[in-house]
Amino acid sequence: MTFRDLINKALFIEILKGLALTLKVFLTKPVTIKYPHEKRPVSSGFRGRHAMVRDPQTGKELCVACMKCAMVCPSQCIYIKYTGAEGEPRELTKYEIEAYRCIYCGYCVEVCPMNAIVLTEHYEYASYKRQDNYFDKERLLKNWDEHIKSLKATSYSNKFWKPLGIDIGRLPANKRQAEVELKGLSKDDLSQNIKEA
Amino acid sequence: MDSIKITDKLKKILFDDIIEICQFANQYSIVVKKQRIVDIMRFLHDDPELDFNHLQDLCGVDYKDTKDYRFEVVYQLFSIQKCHSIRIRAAVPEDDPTIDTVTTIWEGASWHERECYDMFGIVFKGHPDLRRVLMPEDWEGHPLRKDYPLKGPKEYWRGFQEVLQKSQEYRQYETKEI
Amino acid sequence: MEQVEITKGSDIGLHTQELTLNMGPQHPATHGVLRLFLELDGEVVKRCTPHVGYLHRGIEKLSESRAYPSVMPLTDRLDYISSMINNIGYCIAVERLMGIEPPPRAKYIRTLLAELTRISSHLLWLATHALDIGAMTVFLYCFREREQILGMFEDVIGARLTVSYPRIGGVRCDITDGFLEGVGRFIDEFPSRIVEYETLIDKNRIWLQRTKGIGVISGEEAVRWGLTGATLRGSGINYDVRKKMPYDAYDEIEFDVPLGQNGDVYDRYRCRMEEMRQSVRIIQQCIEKMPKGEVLSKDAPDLDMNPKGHKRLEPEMSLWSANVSFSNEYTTTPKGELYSAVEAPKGELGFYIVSDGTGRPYRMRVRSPSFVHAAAIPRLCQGHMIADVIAVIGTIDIVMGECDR
Repeated sequence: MTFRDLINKALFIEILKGLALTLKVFLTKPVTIKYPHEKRPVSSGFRGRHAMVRDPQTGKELCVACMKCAMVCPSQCIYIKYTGAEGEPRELTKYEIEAYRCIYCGYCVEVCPMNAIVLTEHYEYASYKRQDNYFDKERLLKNWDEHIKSLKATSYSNKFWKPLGIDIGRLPANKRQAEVELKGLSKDDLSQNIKEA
Repeated sequence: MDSIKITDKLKKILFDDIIEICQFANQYSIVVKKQRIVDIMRFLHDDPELDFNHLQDLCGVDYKDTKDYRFEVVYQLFSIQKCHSIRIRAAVPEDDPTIDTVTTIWEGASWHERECYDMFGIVFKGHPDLRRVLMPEDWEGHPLRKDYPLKGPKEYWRGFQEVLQKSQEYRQYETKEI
Repeated sequence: MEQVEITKGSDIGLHTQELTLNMGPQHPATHGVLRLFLELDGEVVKRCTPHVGYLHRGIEKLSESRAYPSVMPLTDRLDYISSMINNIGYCIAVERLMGIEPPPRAKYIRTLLAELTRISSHLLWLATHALDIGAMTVFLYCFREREQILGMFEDVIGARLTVSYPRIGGVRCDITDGFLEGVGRFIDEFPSRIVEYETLIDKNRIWLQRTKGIGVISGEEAVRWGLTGATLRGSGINYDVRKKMPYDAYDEIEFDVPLGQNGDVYDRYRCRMEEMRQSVRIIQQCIEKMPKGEVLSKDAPDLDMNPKGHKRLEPEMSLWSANVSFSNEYTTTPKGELYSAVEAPKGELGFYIVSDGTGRPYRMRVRSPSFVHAAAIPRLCQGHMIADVIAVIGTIDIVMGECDR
């Protein structure tokens, strides 16, 4: 041990240096946020609560029951039932997502040819009852309404509907212009639309 | 030394033990009989030209109904100095699922062998501590075998009824729904 | 290593016996659900038996019933704090199996994000390791930087931990120039942060006493135990999968492999700190060299891959027709078996895939570094005090999700 080391050890130099650093950081602005009062901005494309897109024209879901999402789902938490014979358009009778089993990989959103399902940026949906996070079709549509209410824009597009940099030839026709018009989707307009239909 | 040369060399030396030699995506694998596996491994480890000192992986594979022998124990070998690799696959028949342990050469093989026993039921003779490692100690069956049932029977796992009873008993202490 | 002198109670006529102590599975310093069964003589560990398997989810079995692309989100859950590298490791294994070559931009993006993951994983390791030994401040500082990295992941893919970002044959979506600038800013600032951590603990006398001479293992023995990653390199063995079996863009990028000498806890700590600096170097080169172009190969299988195989896109097709023309034949996955390894922050992460020609793996084996390292805990704890067990668990950087699979 050199003389210098000895002095360093006797005078607690390394500990003093550490304390000086902590003092310096103590005087800077904190990086933490007070969560329930302040909220961290979520980047677009965040994979949060599920929703089914409501068609602005008909007020119903866009899903055509092609079963692709249920097939690709790694945790197999999507349950679909439909009626309709082979070769005819299918009618969706049941569409359920068990959110507790979902692993939020976003495969269903990416694989859907109709842009019917989406993982919204909403992330605060803890609840006291298990049933609240077992989403059936109505609940999924309601999630969508809640989601667009919080949006200021006139149209909505999800990152996984049309992933950046992916060859457009890979995408089915609906995915190539992946945008949903949000105009006329307020509750009153919708009920009117439905009446007209 | 590249894989072809290694395979050629081994072909001469291990002639009697080799069942077949496979090649896929520039990786060579040699299927051997299980009887002299420790000698083969010791040779591969000690030979100065081969110098396979790093056992990357040891695992089992179940080839039910696709091969004459049912199981294979796969050894991935790599030489850190020489930077070459080879795969040795030991054929293990269903009626005698035993093979000698290589923990005498690589201590690290110990848990891999335990896992292989746990998942496939292959017994490693001479292993110092052959117990289940991932599954509970009282588990029945070997999950990674191809004939292992994918859905459970009607009865639940052992102890399920007790847990269910207890949870119902404790329900009275739960807070009221808000 | 200092010899511990024990005055035995039996020597002076007292009745003594060995104490068995059960540490875990719910112990904060075991980084998950590791259970150690310790047999103690006073405070000295005589024997140590690790019990694992509390987090066993059967990922190997699950993957046998899922198509190749659907297995990937499962690999997120192996080592959940460096999920990007698990995904990349799996994708590379399947790409080699199917004979797909990802485009250069995808390779560089993967390399960049893999190194960001490495930094974030090492930060979490340093944070918890230091916290276990008693340095609280480092823990908070590390999380400050880790948060920035997780925020970047959120920008790219929309998830912070379980990213599922790469795809077989490339990556899922392109990155923007704004993201690259953000990474550049972080990288410029980060080396000064490493200096901060070092100021706090590098020469701290408590840290030195808790880490020097603890858990010593010689290089030769470490290889026999199958240790990999920084745990092995701390003993002076130059084995890094990125150098020995290059994947992605690592063969076009310059970096050094930091090595230790003594093979103790302190040397492994030094190795990981240097590795973070090397990661910064790699990221800088990635940003400079980032090529333009596609991010997903033409041959890449679709997400909803048919169990028979996948269809290739026709090279000349009208882009705006409603029916995308696929070739009519399925390109089946070749029959064969393959082992492919990547350098995860913990060590060598290997995937051994046996394919029987269908769209699902016949057998997928994950060679996880944590599993092998957990096996070596008894060897590393031998003859140490019980408090050093914590240091040993910290130094091998074990994540139970990966260990139990």
